[in-house]
Amino acid sequence: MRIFEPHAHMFSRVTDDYEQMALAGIVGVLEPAFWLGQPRTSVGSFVDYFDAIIGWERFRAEQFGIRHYCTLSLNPKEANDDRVNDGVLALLPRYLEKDGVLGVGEIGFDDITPREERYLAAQLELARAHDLPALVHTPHRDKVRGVERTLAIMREVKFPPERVLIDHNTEQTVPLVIDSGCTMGFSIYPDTKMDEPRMVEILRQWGTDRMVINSAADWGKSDPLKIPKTVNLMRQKGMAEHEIEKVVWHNPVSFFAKSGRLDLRELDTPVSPGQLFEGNSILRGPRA
Amino acid sequence: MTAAATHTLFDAILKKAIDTLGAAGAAVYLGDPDRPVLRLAATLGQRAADGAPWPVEMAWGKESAGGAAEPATEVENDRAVLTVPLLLGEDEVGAVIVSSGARVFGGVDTDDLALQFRALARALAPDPLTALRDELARRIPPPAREWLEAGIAAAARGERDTILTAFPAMGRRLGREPLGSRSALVPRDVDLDVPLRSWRVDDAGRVALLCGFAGDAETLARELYFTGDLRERCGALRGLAVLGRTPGAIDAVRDAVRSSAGELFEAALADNPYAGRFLPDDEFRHAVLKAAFVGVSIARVPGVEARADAELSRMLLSYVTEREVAGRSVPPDIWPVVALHPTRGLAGKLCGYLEHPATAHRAAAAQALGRIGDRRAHAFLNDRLAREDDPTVRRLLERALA
Repeated sequence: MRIFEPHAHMFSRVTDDYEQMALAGIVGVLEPAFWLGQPRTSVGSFVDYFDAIIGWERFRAEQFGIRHYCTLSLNPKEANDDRVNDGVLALLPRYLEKDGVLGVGEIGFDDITPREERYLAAQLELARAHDLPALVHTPHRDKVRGVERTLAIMREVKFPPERVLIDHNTEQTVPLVIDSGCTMGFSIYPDTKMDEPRMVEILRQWGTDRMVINSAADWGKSDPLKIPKTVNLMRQKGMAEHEIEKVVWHNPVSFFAKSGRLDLRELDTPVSPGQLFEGNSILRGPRA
Repeated sequence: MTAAATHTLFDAILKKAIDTLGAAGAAVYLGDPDRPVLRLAATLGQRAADGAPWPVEMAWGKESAGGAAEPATEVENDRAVLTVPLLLGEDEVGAVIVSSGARVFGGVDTDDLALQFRALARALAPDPLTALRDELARRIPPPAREWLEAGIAAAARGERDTILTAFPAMGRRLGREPLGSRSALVPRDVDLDVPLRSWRVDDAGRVALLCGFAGDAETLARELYFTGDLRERCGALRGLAVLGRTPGAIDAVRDAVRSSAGELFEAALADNPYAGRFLPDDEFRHAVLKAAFVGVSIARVPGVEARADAELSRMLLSYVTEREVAGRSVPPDIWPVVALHPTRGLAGKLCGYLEHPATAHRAAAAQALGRIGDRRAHAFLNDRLAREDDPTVRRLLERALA
């Protein structure tokens, strides 16, 4: 079973993770830009972070045979930080045109503040200007209200819902999003957010249309193998193979293909692990 | 260039060719863009003793009329008529044909003529933006061309932001394949050429935008370098090759020659006159040494001969020694450069390379010995000439002996 992981912060993971993910069938991973667990104090830190996830991280992933893509944005949490918010927004137009950038994200709400609203709307406009889909984070606290405000702002700026992935859904938010036309993401986490049995139950109840799952693996306690682990449970619970493949491959791939920049032939071509990054000789150990 | 200025230029070149060679007459022929023929552009003097006219048109190539017309890139000498190609980069844009009259031409003096005719080809070249448009028109589909033209129009209005977002998108929009051009760009205000041989399609698109920019293109190229990914950086460096006029963006070159990315290093140094003009001496020498080290021919570094000095010879020969001690091969294009400031024993070493099985080494050693001019080498040069089959090496041996 081929798996596309539509949300993992590989920047903060080790090479063992890539190795395990590749063994478990993950052939493509999308890395949304987010915060780093501690606040950044200057725009320069974002420049280096963006450069890392459009270039260096792609090289790391390809060493393990995994294609790496990303979405870029000013994240909701740091949208509240006046040291960086406007500067990062000004960087985005040229970064959004870089290769491997398949969307604007994560954008959305954290504390649901006026600044968060302003930068969410501004970045939906950027997504429209650059013809990219949007990946929307929903808050950990007051999630239902966050989802409602997100959908309201999308309507206000008339952003097409079929080009939005609303992420980190729960049993409570599915009824709000299911009829919106947005793609729905579920982050399977060890302790918080969503777990495998609940996920399988949601898919049984609501079907698999526009449903995607991810590990949202980051710098906290998380597990980059949560998609393959959920696939195991789906099988045990008797879900049809084509339904499983729809959730872990066709849905995420066709959503990000809306960027017009996801080369499906490339995704189907195995990566040669000996490939150098920009002819760079920095690779350690013997070459393939 | 106006028609009158072009004709003044042709007359001057033809007169010089006739005077240099003691010829009876000479004519400039220019390639037709649509058909494989050369068309007569200017004449001076007689074509032959019987006063026969210069043909208005002739087949373009080594084969005479009716044959497959492949443009010639080497001087052809049938002893009575000398055909010297007009080369822009490695692309033949025309030819100058010199008629001997009574004299029989030798091989040696044609090298100087070839250099003069290169200057003529540069003078006739279109401006860089026009040349890039022509190159791209043959390689990208109409929608990509429209997108690029919209970008060039915005650049001409001074819209920086359009260039900032078009730069990263260029590879996706136009493609990333090799441009496949043998030609070169010639800036309007400086007499130098920038060969396109290692450019890619996206390089050409990026440089077209910079050429069209109504503002300070050098400063913009520098900014695009430092915010760009590898391909954007290559495009910015190639833009500086054409548009760089001050050392203001040299830190971009400095950054690129320090990197381990082969493509970036090549874009900064090879076929890029900007680096050769503005890198300080010590950094220039180290860049040339690194080129030899990473396998980029130092003959592709513009200015390497003009800026060569004893210190560069020492550094390159010390690298040669290191390679030889390890039993490894040495890049042949080092020889003509170190010969400009020879060290003791170099002529002897080069006499040995005259017997190298690789043609490139024999040619480079012969050229280098010609530059050193040590008469003790003549015995070895004559000895090799008696057995040499390769025409280029033979010509270089003859020249070294002259």
